[in-house]
Amino acid sequence: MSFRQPLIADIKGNSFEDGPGIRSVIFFKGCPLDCVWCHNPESKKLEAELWWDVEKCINCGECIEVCSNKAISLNNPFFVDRQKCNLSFNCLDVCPSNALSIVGRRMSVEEIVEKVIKYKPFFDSSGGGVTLSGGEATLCIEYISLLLKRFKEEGIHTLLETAGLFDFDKFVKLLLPYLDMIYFDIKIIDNLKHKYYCGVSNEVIFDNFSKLLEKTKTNEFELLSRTPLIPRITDDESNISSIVKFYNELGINKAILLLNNPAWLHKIDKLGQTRQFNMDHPIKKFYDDKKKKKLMDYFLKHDIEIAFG
Amino acid sequence: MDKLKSSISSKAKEDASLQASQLLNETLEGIGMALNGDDNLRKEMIGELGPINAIISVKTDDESIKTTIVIDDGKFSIKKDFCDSYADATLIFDSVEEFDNYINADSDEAIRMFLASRVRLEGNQSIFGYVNYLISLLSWQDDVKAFDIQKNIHNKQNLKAAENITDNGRKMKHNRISTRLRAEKIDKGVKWLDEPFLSKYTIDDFPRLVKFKNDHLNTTPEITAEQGKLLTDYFVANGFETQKDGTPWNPILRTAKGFEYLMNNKKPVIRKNDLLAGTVTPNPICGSVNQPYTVGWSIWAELNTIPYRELDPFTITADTKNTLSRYVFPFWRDKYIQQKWKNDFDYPLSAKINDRMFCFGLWGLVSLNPGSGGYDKIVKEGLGSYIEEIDRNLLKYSKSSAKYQKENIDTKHSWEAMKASLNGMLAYTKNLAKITKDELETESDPKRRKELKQMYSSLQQVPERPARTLHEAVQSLWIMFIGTCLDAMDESITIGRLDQILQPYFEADIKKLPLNEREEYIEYAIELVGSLFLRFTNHLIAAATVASWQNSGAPGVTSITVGGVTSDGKDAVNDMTYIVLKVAEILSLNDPDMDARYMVGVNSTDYIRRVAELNYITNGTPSIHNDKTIIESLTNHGWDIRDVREWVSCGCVEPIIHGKHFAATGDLDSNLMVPLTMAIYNGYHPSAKWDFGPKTGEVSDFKTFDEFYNAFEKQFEFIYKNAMEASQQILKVQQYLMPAPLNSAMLENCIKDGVGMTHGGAKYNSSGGAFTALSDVVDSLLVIKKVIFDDKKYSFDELKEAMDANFEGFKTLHTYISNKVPKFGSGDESGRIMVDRVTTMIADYMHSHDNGRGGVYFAGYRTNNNHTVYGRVSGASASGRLAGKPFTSGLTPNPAASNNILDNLNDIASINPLNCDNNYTFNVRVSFKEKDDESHKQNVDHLANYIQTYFVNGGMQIQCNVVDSDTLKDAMAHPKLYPDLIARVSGYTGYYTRMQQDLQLEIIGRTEFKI
Repeated sequence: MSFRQPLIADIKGNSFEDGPGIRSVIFFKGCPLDCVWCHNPESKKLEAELWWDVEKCINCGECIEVCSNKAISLNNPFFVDRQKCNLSFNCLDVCPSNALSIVGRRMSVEEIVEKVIKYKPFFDSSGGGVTLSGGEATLCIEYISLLLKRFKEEGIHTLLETAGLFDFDKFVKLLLPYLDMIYFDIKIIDNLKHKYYCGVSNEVIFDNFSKLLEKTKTNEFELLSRTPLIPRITDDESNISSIVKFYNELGINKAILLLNNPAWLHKIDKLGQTRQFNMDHPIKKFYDDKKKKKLMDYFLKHDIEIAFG
Repeated sequence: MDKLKSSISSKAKEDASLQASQLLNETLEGIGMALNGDDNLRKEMIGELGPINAIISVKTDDESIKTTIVIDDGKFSIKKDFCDSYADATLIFDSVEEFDNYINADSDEAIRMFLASRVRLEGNQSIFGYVNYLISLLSWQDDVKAFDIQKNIHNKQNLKAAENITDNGRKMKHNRISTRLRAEKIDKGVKWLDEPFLSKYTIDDFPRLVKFKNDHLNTTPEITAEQGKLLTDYFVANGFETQKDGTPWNPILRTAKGFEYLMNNKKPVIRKNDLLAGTVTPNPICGSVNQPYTVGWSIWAELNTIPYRELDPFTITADTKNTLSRYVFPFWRDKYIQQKWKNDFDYPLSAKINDRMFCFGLWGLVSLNPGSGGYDKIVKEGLGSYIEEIDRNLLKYSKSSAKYQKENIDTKHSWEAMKASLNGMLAYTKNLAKITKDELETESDPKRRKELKQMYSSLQQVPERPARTLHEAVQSLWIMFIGTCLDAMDESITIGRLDQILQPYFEADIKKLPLNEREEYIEYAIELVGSLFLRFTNHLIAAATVASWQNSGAPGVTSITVGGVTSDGKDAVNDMTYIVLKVAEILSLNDPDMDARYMVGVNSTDYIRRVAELNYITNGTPSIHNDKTIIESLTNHGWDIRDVREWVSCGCVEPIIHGKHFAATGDLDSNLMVPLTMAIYNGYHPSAKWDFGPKTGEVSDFKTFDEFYNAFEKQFEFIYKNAMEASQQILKVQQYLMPAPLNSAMLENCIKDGVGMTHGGAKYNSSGGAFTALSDVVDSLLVIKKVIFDDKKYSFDELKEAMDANFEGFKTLHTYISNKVPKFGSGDESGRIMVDRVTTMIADYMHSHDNGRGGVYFAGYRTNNNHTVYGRVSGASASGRLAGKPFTSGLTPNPAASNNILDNLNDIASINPLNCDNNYTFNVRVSFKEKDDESHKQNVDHLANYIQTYFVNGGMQIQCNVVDSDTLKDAMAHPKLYPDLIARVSGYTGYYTRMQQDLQLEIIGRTEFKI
């Protein structure tokens, strides 16, 4: 069987926020959606990227000497001229501070298993396991099928975080047998808005969600939906009431809300990307506590229990 | 510490034109005139037992400054340009420049110079203290002013550092207490507590404990002279080296007779409203003991200023000051362990290394580190049965042949000594009973009368006869504790498994009660154990300011262990386990030091959750130990597993066998970076500026990493050969000065064989090494191996040149070695291999050397506060650590190793426990999100999961400070708001706001895993 080996953006070893217990989270690179608020901008593109951390850089200039395309200059405030950079990554080894690093490494299934398996005793004692996140892990469905199978062979609890845009039949055949839990994003109900803010239509996504929900009746896995609370984008009255309506229709009584966290904004600079929001947009602030409480009460009023992620 | 400094400084301010030599001489002449010209001051040079003479030289290494102070027959004079080779002590400066620096330094900097051996003292430190005391009679007010200036500077710095804090932890403790967990009855051994976590109680339910805790927190302890004075009285009357009739004393008999006299004449004290009779010192709240055999003298220089110092102040009365300075200290000036060691062994190289404070600190000079006598057996059987056994042995001896008697006279003396010391305990108990009766006669409050009656009744029974009730058991323990403190230094006394000792008496009591009285009885048990805890805070070791820097905030460190398995391997958790944990929670004291044993799979997960919760609520206690690996590390020595399973934590975290083991776990506290540095510098030590090691090659000569490692190993063996020689010489001195008859009687086999503990009488013997800087040594070796030998990125000469320059001008190299080489704790295999290589080398060396009393040396990695102390005197490391910066505490990985706590936990758990039989400390700070009421449970569960898994993987010990950096900064700036914020240092717990500033900052600098 031949299939594309995906790029791994990061493996986080000790997370309490991506599912039950102590978890390792594997971030896959590449996503079919293009959400403007994406908290993991480094996982969006399918290709490897060069990451430059101004706080770590000591301006030693070692990288300049080895850069084959002369893309690096101490005078450039962004350090790397992204137009010139040919992603040779020659600069990584010589950089003494690791200010320059690569986002996106190809890793074999066994390499990932080896990285994660050493934390298994912690998963076991805490009821934790492995979470596949991204990006969108289902882009490499054959690969993650093998990966999930290996985790199950090792007796590790598995959880997939997905934006929901995938081939349903393949998903059921290749992934579902090896998944204990799925976190499924329900972002914006209005399709026009969804297209505008997320770059794609939500039809397939919602369709997949409904079909997966059906499957919970016959298969053993847990499905939970998640909505990121993005000020003025996903948390306005009409979207929230539409989500509640959607859940009520499907008979869903438990969901997750993700609070906006501005910590991701600095990542944009390190990737040499341009910013999309002006400085006073509430997306740059931590989520308001009062608003959080109000939303929770609203959901509860409609018989939906909320957990915050 | 050095009072000469302030006098010279003020002289220098008067006349700036004076050159160093002139300045020194004119200052001393001024001091001499002032002392000689005042009858009251002259009296200070004539003690109660005769003139207190002294010769002290002051010089630079090159002798361009030299002068000698002579105090003779009550007259202070100086000999200019003369350095007396027979001086009692010599104060030595590296250079004239350092002399000038010293004179101009503020008080913090002056201590740092001492600690960095830029100024050092050779010879008799007690007598140097005496001369400083004389000088401070004239200048103490200047010192007090300097203290105030320093305090103000610290306050300002602390306030500034806390300026921008928005989220402090002022309500943290309150919140954590108010959401505490409940539990069902799960553990088999818990029979009487319906809700084992006892969550319904707070300290406010126990007004007596509230009062005692407030007294403990708000009362400045007092310097007392009782022990020193009574021992001096006895030996003045009965002779010390020889008895009055000229016959030589048998050392253990001499010590025992002195002890018996002390206990007979010690003032019996009952603190007002206490449930337990007796105190370690005459002060009912807290006093210092000032052991004359060890470090009692060390406050001589500070007697005038000790109430005013910033760290560890004490009150002192004029009478005590007079008794100590003119009677006790002069009598013992050559009779304390450190000086006798230097005298008896001709000031060996090891003593010179020790004096410079950069390489090792031999705890045997300070304390016998007696460990844990068999308190359980005494409570159960009573001292009477011990005395009967001795009498039987003596009778047998008296009936043996004259030849046998002659050959075994020491055995006879040992029995007599042990008996005398036990009799001393009974005499003291009688005196306590008498004052209890007196108090009872005048007391009218019926409730208090009832308590006093119970106390009186207990004192009639224990410790002579077996305890029958919980009160008798606790009273018996407490009296024996007082004795063990006074027998061989009031430090690191280990009560042991308090839950196991008390459970039978708790059960015997509660069984008799009707159902409706049982809850009240459980409350009484909490109050009684709480009173015992607060009695342990009754004594402190008064030591010089420099010691307050070295072991900042350390109390007497009385250890209590709970949990684990029984001698037959079964779950030992019982009702008293949870009662003791509850007491530790509500009191949140710096002392006693709590240790929890946990056997995964045998002890319940509820129990470890409760232990984790205690850590969470109190921030810093208990220390948590893995029963399985510790038991393995001890049975590795061929010891009986049934005995080993009774292990208890001693001192900081060291495992010893309760009632059967003399472990001297602090014998070789040392700086592991020294041999590595000397391997890089071919036997020379750059910050000590001393070329004293073997020649193992210049760095340019090493062709492979293994060649270099061999050099490291040779330097290591050189240093520890000296350290072990010293430890065995000190043992000989202990045998003469502090053979600990009472502690011996409490250890199995000593009475049976008539051999004291310092002669190897205990059933099990070992001595401990504790190595500071392991993780930095390993990281340095990893850099040397990878960067120099594997990748050849830099040459060894370049690295050494960069280290010499403290990496100034070598920014790229410094950044490279700091970031590009995976460290120990990162999860990388290279770190595990290196830590295994180093710890195996150390353990093999330690395990193959005899300690002089039939045991070997153990190896361990707990550091007290030595990681800051030794960091200060260590130059830049090959790991990239800058000169003077602290090492990590215990064997904790460098904060940069990983931001994932699981990597730290896994790497430490990979270390072979057999290499760490003296245990280690893994200290991390963790901070949790505390967003709502649910958080408490979640966070405790996380902590418990970490501990449990880390133990399954093979970790031995963990202790967390569950507090974030902002809260610590806020506490430094506003200490009054955090009176009982405790923090783990490395093995001991102290009140954070009372620690020395460098240590406070080091704790803030530790890895903070945000979870």
